Amino acid sequence: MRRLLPSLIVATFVLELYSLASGGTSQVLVSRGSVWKYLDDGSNQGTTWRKSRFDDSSWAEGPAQLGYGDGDEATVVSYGPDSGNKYITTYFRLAFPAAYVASYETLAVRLLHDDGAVVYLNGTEVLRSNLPAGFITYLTRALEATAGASERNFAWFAIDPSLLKQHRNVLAVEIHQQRPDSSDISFDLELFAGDREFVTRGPYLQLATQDSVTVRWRTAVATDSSVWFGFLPGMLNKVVYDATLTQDHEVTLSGLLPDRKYFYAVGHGGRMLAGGDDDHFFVTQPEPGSWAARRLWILGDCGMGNDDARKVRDAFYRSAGPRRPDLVLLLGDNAYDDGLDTDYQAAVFDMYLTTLRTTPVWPTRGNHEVDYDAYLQIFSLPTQGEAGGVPSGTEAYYSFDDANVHYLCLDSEGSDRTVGGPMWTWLEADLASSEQEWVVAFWHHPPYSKGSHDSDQELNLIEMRQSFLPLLESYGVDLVLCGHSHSYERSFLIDGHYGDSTTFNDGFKKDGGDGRVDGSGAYQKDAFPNEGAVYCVSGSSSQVDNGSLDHPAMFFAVSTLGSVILEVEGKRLDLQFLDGEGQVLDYFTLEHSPWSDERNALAGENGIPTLRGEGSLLPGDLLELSIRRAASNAPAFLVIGTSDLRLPLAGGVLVPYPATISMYTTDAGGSIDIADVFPGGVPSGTRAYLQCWFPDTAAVQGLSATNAISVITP
Amino acid sequence: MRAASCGVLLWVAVAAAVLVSAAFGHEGLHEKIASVTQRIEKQGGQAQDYLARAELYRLHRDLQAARRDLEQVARIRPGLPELAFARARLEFDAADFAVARASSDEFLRTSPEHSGALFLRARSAARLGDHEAAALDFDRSIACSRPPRPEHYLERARSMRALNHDDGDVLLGLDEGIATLGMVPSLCDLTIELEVEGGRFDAALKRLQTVSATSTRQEQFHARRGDILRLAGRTDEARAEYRAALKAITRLPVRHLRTKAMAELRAGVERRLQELALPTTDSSGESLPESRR
Repeated sequence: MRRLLPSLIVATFVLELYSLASGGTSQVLVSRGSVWKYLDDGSNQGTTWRKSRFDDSSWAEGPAQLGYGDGDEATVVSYGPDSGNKYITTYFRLAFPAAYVASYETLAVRLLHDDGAVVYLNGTEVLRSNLPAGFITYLTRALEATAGASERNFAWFAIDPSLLKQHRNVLAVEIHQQRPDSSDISFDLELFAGDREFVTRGPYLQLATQDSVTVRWRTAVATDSSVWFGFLPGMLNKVVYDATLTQDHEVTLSGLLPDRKYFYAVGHGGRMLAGGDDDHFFVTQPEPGSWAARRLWILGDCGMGNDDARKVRDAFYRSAGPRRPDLVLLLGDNAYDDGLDTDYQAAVFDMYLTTLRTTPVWPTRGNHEVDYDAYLQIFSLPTQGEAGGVPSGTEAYYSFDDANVHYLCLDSEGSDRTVGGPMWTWLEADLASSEQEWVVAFWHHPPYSKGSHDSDQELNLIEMRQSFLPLLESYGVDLVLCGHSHSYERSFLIDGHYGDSTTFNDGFKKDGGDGRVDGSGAYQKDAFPNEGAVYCVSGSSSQVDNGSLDHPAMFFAVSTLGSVILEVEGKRLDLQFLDGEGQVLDYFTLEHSPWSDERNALAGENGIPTLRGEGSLLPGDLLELSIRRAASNAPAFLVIGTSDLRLPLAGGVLVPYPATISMYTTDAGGSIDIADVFPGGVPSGTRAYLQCWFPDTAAVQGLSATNAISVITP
Repeated sequence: MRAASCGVLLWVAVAAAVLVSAAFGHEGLHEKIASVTQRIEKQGGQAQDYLARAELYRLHRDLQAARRDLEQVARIRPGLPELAFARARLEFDAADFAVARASSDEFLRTSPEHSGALFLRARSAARLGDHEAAALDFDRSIACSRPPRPEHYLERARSMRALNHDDGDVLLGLDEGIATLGMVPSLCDLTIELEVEGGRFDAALKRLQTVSATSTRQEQFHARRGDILRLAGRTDEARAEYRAALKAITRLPVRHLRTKAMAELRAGVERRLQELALPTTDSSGESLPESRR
């Protein structure tokens, strides 16, 4: 049966000025959806059908996409009477005009083909894909079945522009099945010509630090590489040049100033192909350790390249407005089905084009990064601690600093997950070397999930939980981000749980609240020792799947499309889950308080006295101390020192080395509240220890004491 | 020539992996197994389908089912090159290292520079105690890997040690890894461990110094230096390093100071200091000042 969709028919001959995704003036000679002649009768056409002057007037015609079996065809072609023995070869032809062909230096095809294809231009073979070398007959089968996202993806091919003729040209294409019982074929084609090379991917930004960034892009044909950059788009007064001829360009700009906006352009020789405008820029990262406000956009399992992915993307764009993210994290399964280069083109580079040319992206590997070579080729990732951290020697796992956050990317898919293995050993050394305020880790397989994957059942998830969480938590990890389950799940502030979900109880919650400033309060990590992390699964950036969503570690779980926005500034971290409609469905705040509990309270008349401090210790901010459950109506001696003495005293421990002692009196309930404005002039990093002592007849040796607290000025 | 050949062979591995994933969507292992099972039932089952399901079963640790599928592949297409490699992976997981090795042999006859198969055969040989063959295969696997990973160098070093190779040779191999991959902790740690085991304490300290120079945090390095000095019988220096470790810990920002890891390190260092039994008097019975204790 043949089906024509008139609404999708577009002019066969398109001749318009067209700017490719990232610049370079070029012409579209044949557009997607063009009307093609086709022959779908399973006949042997020999070789004459490839020639320009072949008479195809008896062939049927219809707009692309042409094919059958997928449901997305504009024209359904026939496979013959037997679905178990389909025609191997289907033929397509299209005549198109071209003018000014002498001015074209490049010619490129974007081809959608399932399974194998050969393309001829004016009778000359110009490309062959997924078919064996040598003579092709109408019974020659494709080398491999095309499946998954590859069925939807266009691949770029450069062809010889000298084959193009003035006025009339003919493209002839044969599509070959891999097996006679295969369910589908697909075909569509675009042809571009231009006066310069094409940028077919990017540019995109990698390996960003405070003084360097790597710019990458792909061209249709191999060229040398130039990147121009400067502080104004019209004044790109510096250039880095690499004479190596390549299609995949990778140029590192170094010696940059921290936290500065640079505009840039990419090209070859002296020719700019993309950039040199307001849309192509990057901002170098702030100095490591700085308290700059940072914003990350986090996409998990975003690789479908479908309308749902677009919905999530556009919701973020609407929500963010002009404020671009500083970084993008990809939590794995970035390009379905197999992470092939063509999968990445459709699911990542075409999908997030405008973001990736201004925002560095840091990925991790998921179980669908099957073509790991492609992953390694596409991304430039640190192996030598180039962006902070310890050398891992592999791009599979790495770390980097951004402002005062140390990010750790682990490989839960392909690396040894055992304790003491190379990744574990690296992680331990890396954690021990970091001086950053925050530690955020990300990988693909979540340690806690009851979404479309079950952390009680699946090995990768269990091993990551059992092998890596104890180490991460022992170094005070704050936040762990994962994907894999196609849902959003977010934990309480928890610590120390490495068993299955049935063993989780309230004892593992360091804070069982919602973590919301307008709810039960932000999660505070001020206890001794530095305990508690929030675990977040965000794997619904292009699809959702069901699950029980009832892991007891989770405060919130929902099977809804969305992405995560992470904001960090100083000692505050905010995370929100933005759904595909642009609604914030969950959010929480995590704070590093400057106050620490030093313990060593000594019980007395009203139980165990407590001392708590509040305030940011910024000059002019309110500083509050509250004492509770001390002896009633008793003198109180507040001891303050800038170092710790930890002297055994009256059965307890005097923690501060006494520098000053102030006297107060408790009320009948054994309480004191002290409030004052914190003065300016105290050097940053000054630490103070405080503890209050009371004469207390109920105490064993006549003295009771609060816990000690310590505080450090920001 | 070798690089080009390795590249082609890498694609064999990729293609095999793609095969598992292709057409099974983005489900978990259970769903993928169900999906390919359905296809086998519907279409009669091609060798590639059974091969793919065998790999899924293997990843799922259902080795019996994987073995049954590979037997089916052997019946349908006995000469399929991927069959031998799949069997090698399966039997390695099943701890039948002899079969794993023989199957790797078979696969490597047609793909002699497949880095994954070389690595697997090396590991199988090592498990069987044939460290000589293992070391050779690890060596070849390193040459064919682009890039090699720390595991390659670590396992080669272990095999060389098992063969009682001179420490110098083992260290040379690890240093080759460090030169290729950088100051990777697992490699650096092993070199230091080897130097210590060989009683070459100064060499160990020198290596540790090189590693520690890249880090601003020094508490772990002081502690480790103390351990080496203690083993070397240089107790005064060891004590000084332990004290430096404690001092470095107390200087950490609160956020790092208050971690379990630092609490454990502190406790460990304090314990080791106590074990060094501080002398409080000198040989003449005079009290030592604190700075000399």
